[in-house]
Amino acid sequence: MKKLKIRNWSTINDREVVLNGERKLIFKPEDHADQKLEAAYRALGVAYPKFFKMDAQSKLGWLSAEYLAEKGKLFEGTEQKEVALVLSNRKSSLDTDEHYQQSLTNEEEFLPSPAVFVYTLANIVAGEICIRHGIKGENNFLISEAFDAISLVNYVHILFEEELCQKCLVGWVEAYRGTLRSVFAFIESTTDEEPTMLFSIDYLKQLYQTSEL
Amino acid sequence: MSELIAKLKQQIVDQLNLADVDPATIDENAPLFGEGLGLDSIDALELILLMQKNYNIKIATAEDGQKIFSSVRAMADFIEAYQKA
Amino acid sequence: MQKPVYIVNDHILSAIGTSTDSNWKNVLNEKSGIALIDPLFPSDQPIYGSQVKDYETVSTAATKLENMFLYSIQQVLRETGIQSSNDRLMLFVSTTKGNIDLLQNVNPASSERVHLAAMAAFIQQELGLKHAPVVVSNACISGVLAIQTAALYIKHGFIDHAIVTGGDLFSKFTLSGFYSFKALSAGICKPFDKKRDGINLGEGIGTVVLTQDPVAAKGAYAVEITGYGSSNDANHISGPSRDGSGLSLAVQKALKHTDLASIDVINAHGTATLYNDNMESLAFQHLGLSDTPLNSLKGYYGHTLGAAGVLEVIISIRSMLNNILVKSLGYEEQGTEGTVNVTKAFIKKDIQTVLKTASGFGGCNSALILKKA
Repeated sequence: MKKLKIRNWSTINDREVVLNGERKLIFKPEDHADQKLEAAYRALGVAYPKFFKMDAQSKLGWLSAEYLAEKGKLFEGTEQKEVALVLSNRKSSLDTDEHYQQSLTNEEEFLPSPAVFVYTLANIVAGEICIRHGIKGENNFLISEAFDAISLVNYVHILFEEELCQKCLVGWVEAYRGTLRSVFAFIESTTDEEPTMLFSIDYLKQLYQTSEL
Repeated sequence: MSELIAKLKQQIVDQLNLADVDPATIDENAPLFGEGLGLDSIDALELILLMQKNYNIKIATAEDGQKIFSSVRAMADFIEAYQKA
Repeated sequence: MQKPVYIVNDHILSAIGTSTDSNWKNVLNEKSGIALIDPLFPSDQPIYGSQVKDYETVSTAATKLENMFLYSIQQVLRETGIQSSNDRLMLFVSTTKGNIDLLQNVNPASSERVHLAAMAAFIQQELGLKHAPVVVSNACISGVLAIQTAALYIKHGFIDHAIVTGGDLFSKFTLSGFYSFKALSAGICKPFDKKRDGINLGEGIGTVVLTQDPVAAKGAYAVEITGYGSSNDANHISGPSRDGSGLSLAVQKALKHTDLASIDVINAHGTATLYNDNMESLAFQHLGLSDTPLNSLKGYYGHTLGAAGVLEVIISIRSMLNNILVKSLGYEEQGTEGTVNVTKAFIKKDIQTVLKTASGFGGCNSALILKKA
């Protein structure tokens, strides 16, 4: 079986942005989620105006991937179609679903917004990340009651074994009613006997734990 | 007319979530789609909502919208013509 | 040595039948489940859709969607030799919005089951399944992708059998959303046709049984899953890439062990929007599949979202087993940039290999190759 390693990883929660265990940004506690997300965006110093059209969850996922990217590049030397993206969460797109639902109860004016509706699917955050980084390979979005390291590690291993991907961005991303939590890891195969960050169920569980408030 | 154009620019920025765009910097004669602000198909639909919400103008299809939304000035002209009718 | 993975049984619950047999019969009679619906909101156009009116209340504690899922899964469990409590059996649920109708409620208890995994856990409990279901929610490719995911789990030895079930409701939530996109047809949808003007939404459940042991599973038939692949256009979150290159990537991966020339029929996504069907036609043309008989089943069912991939695979399997090409309902005249060979009538043909594709919001694409065993 192919040995897989984590090349780098990022976490974002209500308190901070962390990259490979190093704190990159601490949010102002009095800020709302939207303001925190904007602060994380500004701190990157990149120009991506489409950021402001995204819903909170897509912003969160986009940021998580962007922090992983070195000098704006998530991966190099690999064809776009060989890079996979496997994401997960519990709430699907519930945050935006609730916003959209509210707009349907407007008695005076029935004007559902396509710009809001488009974000009422779990995998749209994946779409935004794919567009930003040119990821054209395998996609999947799995919904679970809690972070499921077992399923994620198994599924990603399967993709590598099947040669359905050569690299994979895997993680958890959830933004709901002002609460943010994401854990992303960029996975590659390795010939190292003992990689520093082995992509294993235990290790991924630990990374998720570090994002606990 | 210039008041309408100024108002429209602000409404466009609000409706389309163009957070980093200062309405005053939008050239009313520049194309809205393709170049200029580089708006896309969802933006076109949102502009249709804008017309409905703010001016009570109903635009049936995205295709009808294309001509009307070719620039801010084109939008303003259309609104004025509609209001005079 | 990895054993092949087969689909060996199925069930459909839809607007045109509460069994696969009744669905197939109605398809052969060109009976569409799409009809004019009572308005759910103020609209500038007539709205058509396909709704399940006839469904059994399997459990009084279950929502409409859950009852539909339960009924369908029970039908396949009844027929297969696999016990629901089998440790090597897993359920895979494909859905885009689950119990989205619960969002209208103020009841906090019901809001728990708006969560897709909670809905799946409820289904697991009701059926006495051992393991937490895998829930795939990836827009309109969910059904095809869930079949791929289950096949991979079996192939790599995590389980021996899988039930893959896909379903979604016909809801005001989703309908209004497609309305806001001006993507709804003003009539019954016409996939790939020159006069197509948008989609109809549909409701239903498609359930299949996958296994690496058709004998133990007491399969009714055996259709092998010989190829799979998904991709992303990396272009736009709601519009498909203009040239169909993303879909081509998914199909190319699925064709890893299959000769292009051996594909007998393509069951496309064919939602009947201007852009989707055009994109698909360009992808198929680019791949060299312009002459291969092609159909869309959306004219019979509408777009059933999370159910689509599974439900349409089942009808395609019936088509294979009966060696008859299914007429692409609603098609009259070529209306896409790419040349495709849309099936205009039910035609007898020896069908060994089927290509199934799907595409969805978020730029995703998915493909499967099915082969008669």
